[in-house]
Amino acid sequence: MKEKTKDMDKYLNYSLEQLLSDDSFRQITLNPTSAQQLELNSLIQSHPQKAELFCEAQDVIRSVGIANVSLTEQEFQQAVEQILSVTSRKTRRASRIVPVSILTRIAASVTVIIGLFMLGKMILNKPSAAANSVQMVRKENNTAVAKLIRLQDGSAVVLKPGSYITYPITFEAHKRELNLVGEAFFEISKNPEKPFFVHAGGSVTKVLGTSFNIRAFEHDERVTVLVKTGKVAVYKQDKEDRLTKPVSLLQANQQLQLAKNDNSFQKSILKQGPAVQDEQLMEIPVSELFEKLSKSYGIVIDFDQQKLSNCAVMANLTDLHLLEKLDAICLAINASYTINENQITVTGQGC
Amino acid sequence: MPQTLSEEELWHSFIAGNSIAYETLVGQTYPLMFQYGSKFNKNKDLVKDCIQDVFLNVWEKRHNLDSTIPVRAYLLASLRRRIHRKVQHELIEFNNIEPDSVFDPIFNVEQTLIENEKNMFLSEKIAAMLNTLPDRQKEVIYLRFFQELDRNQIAEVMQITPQSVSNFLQKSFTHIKNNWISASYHLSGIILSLAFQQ
Repeated sequence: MKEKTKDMDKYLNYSLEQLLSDDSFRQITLNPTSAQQLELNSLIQSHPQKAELFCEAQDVIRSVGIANVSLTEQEFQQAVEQILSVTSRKTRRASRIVPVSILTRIAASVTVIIGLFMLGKMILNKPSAAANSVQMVRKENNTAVAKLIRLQDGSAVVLKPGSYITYPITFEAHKRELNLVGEAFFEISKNPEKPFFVHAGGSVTKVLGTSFNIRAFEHDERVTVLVKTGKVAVYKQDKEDRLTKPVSLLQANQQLQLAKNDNSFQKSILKQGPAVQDEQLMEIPVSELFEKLSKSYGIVIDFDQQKLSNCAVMANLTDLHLLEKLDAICLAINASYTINENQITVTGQGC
Repeated sequence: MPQTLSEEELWHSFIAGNSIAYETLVGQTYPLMFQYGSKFNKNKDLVKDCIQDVFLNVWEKRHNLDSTIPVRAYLLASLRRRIHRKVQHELIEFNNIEPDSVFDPIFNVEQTLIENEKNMFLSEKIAAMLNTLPDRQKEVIYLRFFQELDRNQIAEVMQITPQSVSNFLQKSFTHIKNNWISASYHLSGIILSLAFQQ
């Protein structure tokens, strides 16, 4: 791989307090690029005595926040609409400016009526995320092999056969929501300001950047959530679509089975990592890497065996998501990849 | 990475006459303005009214606005002024509104974001320390780290000098550091006493 610039070396001399208040360290923690993540990983690897301090600082930066006053999606939409209707969308007939407070009083009675409708819908077990007039995308997999879908935020979904997902064409301003029927493995790109919610079979899984598998086919009696890396919170979807107390918090290698009909659940710990094994820091032929990835994610990776036969990379890809791994490998061997219907195609001129 | 435009780009194109940019800007900045505003006053409707006033004002003045200003600081500063003015006004006029217009955020810890259980304690402690800071220091910390404003922008929002911003930040860090040291002394004390018992 390319020789990296070492501008992260300065962190080695930083105290916890300095790390917490350093802008670039905060950015790397909250919104890292793949390259930064690689660089920080290798820095920690070569200075293991610093690992704990970095981990502490990152946890504090990620977790310490501000208690937010709730602003529901509906309130938000209404407020923005109200502003736009008296500014940019103002018609020729000058519309009178009505204070929000009066409008909300009128809106409250309308809401009750709409609410009754929604309740009816909810009981019929319709996926409720983004129920407003947002344009939705539907992706399904009717083939016999897993299908990789890349989302607009850089997250990846490995959709298992017989499953489908729906999500808005563009995610909302402050959250990412997706509905799943069936089974899928998720690798969610980190963005603490925009948590990711997966709605499946009456459960809601909240994550900020991690990887996990959810199984919730229509004929399944339980929803199964299995975490590979990071931490997620699983909620039961309630009638008003509010997230109250999580049913359970799951960490890496923990699995939750949540009954669809009642509130019973079962949590278990898996002995071993469910999917990808750690790659050692040594030179590995890319063909071997691709085979490994293909096996652990259950997707087909197509590449020119002959052309790429001389390519090998030395990289620690353990903590990276599939798309980040592909990015890193392709960068190293000067290749590129495309995601097609049922496979990933890697093309390069060889090494 | 999603292809979203920065607030500065949106502002620039809005001043140049693009109303879609304005609409996007309103949608994109509304949640953070609401969060900032609601730290001053618990009355949601009052905060929403003030945000609406800010955006109406921006729209009406669009031909006279500078296209190169730091957008977020400008919007937050306007909102802050409006809320104070409105609360004052309602106090005099109706004498019935809750007079809280001091900055009062609650720092907390999001458990799902902690990868390492040991760090839970640390994060809780830092959040607790932040909560004991005086209001103005809290506001500086909030604007600096949660709205990502720089020293001059914070000064503009809070109507104080950049030097006072630095002083507030310095004071907050000292406060945290002092509490820190007493906490770690406590810990090392335990470790020492254990070592001597052996």
